[in-house]
Parts: sequence; structure tokens; C-alpha cells
Amino acid sequence: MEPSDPESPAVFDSRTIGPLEIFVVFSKLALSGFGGVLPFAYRALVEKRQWLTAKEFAGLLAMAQVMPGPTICNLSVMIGQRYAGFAGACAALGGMVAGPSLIVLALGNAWQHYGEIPAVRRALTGMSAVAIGLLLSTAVKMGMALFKPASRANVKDGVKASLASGPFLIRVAQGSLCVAAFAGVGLLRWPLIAIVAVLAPFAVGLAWRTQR
Amino acid sequence: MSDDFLDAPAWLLTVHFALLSLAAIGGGVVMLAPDMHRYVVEAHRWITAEQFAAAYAIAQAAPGPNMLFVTLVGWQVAGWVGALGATLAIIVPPALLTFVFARASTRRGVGRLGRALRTGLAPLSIGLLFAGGWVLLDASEAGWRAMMIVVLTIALVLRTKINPLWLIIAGAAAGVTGVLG
Repeated sequence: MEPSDPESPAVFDSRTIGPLEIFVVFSKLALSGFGGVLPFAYRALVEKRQWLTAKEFAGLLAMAQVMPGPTICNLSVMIGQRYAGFAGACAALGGMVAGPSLIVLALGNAWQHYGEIPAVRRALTGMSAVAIGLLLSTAVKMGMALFKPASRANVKDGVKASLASGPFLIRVAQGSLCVAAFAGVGLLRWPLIAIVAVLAPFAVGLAWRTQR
Repeated sequence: MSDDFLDAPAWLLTVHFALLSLAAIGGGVVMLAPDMHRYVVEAHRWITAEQFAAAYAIAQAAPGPNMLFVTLVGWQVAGWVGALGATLAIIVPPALLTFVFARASTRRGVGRLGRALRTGLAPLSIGLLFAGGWVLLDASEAGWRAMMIVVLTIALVLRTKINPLWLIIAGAAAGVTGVLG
């Protein structure tokens, strides 16, 4: 079973990557991930170490988003599982969370000791405002991607698509779901699980029926 | 003894967060923030709205997954036990589910149901993200100057590719120099 071309790159699955190496790599990329780990994960795993191709990464990311829970943690579990089974999944998840959570706790501890100092209080007020702005800008970006009318680039197929499936009504339905989720959780402060239990079946059913 | 344990904040918090973790559809634990706020600040009064907002801001300034604000919330509620419980509660249930799913479908891709889940849940995720921002804004009792910072941040993120860390630092600087009043 000699490989016919010894110069060809190794098949990914034949590479042995142990739990310890996984833990170290995921720790490193998590600790460098300021303001979101995903770009750093892509750079480390796809570009630098080539554990995954770009296509494989995108496929795993899509699945990680479908699953409940933090996307980046789900992605870690899937990549770790792929290379070293259960131990690999634990190593990837542990690397992703252990170091950063200790840093967060150290900062929180410092805040508890020095939080009463007026300058620290004021600094945190400013940081809070920025953090809220970052969160809302993610919501705006995702909303623009979802509700944006057909861009100029695909106006041609847009006409066809709009005749085919009545996307206006679908947009209205999607918009209503978005507003209902906001109002229920944000304004009325109802429990999230109740809201999701009621709205998610409608949302998924709508997407299922309008696919293709 | 066992009643004490069952009523202990660390235990209640862990159970509640573990249930919530499975509702974090579409990937963002941030969308759980409103419900966590409702539970730990409003319903149980374990911590203040200010402490909750601080936990969120501190976690944003640190490296690593953004969901680690739950670690700080847990720590504020019940010390080290609370921190560990809250963190594991948010991570472990979805991770187990993902592990089982990953092993079952390593090479099969997402499929039609997966696509319906992803596209269908997107509007809910967006609505919940807005709710998260709203609840934090409401809790921080931001004055008009802080509101300006929020709006400015949104504009900068949408218009430029600036690293969010610089914005956090700029926010801290604006606070220290008294721009926020």
C-alpha cells in the first residue's frame, strides 16, 4: 500500500494529533482572540496549521451554529472529536475556556477591589457602553444580511425569485418573528425558554416550507 | 442540609443556566443575557444591575469566547463554586449534544433540516440579540452621553474594520477623562 505519489500532501485523517497538542493550540488561539475568537481560530487551524481546509471549516462552522450553545465551543468540540475522539473534544473545549476564564476572573476580582474608585467606575461605564454598542452592531449586521432587499448584483435573478416564492410575505413573517422575540424577551421580560418554545417551531416551519 | 443545598444560589444558578444553554440557538450566548438578568438580578436579587453590566463589560475586554461573562456572573453570585457551576452549565450540555451529533454525522454535512434550522432561527437570533442590547442598556441607566458612545460604536463597527479591543480601550478612556459626565 505504498502511496503512488510520495510528494502528495498527507490525508488529513491519517495525521495523528494528540489531545495535548489540541489543548495547547486551542489555548493559544483562545488567548489571542480579543473581541471574538472565530477569526483567530480560522487563521490558526486553516491557514497556519492546516488541520482543516477552508471548506471543511465552513461546513463544521455551519453545524456548530445549528447546535445550541456557544458556536466557538461547539466548533472546538467537533474539531477535537475529529482528531482525537472524546479526549480530543475535551482538550479542545478545555483549551478554549480554561485560560480565558481565569483571566476574566482575575479582572473581575480586580474590579471588586478597585471598583469603588471613581476613575475605575467611570472607565467601566465607558467600556459598558462600547460593549453594548458592539453587541447591537452584531445584531444590526445580521439583520441587514437577512432583510436586505436583493442587491443590485443579483437583481436579475431577484425578479425571478420574487415571482417564484413571494419573498415579501416571507420577509414580513421573518420580521414579525424578530420583533416578537425582541418584545417578548426585551420589553416584556418573559422567560426565554417559553418564547423560543413558542416561536422556534413557526420559524423553522416557515424556513422548511420555503426552501428551494 | 439537603434543603439548604437545593436552595443554594450556586445550585439554582447552575440548573437554570444549564436549561438556558440549550435555548442558545444560533450560537450566541449573549442572547441569554436578558433571561440571566431577569433571573439573577430581578427575580432573586443576588446581584445588582450594575454588577451584571460590569461582568458583561469586563468579559468583553478579556480575550477568549465572549460567553465568559457567565463565569463572572456566577462568581459574583456565589464565589468560585458559582463561577465553576455557571461556566460548566453553559458549556457542557450543548457540548455533549454537539459531540454526539458530530460523531454521528462526521461526513454527511448539514442536510435539509439543518438548513431549515439555520435560516429559520436567524430572525429569532436577531430579535434576541437586540433584546440583549436593550436589557443591558436599560440596566446600565446610561445617560445621553453613554448613548452617544453606543451609537458611535455601532457606526464605527459598521463602517470600519477596527479591532473591537481599541473601541473598548477608547470607551474606558472616555469614561476616565470624564467625557461621560
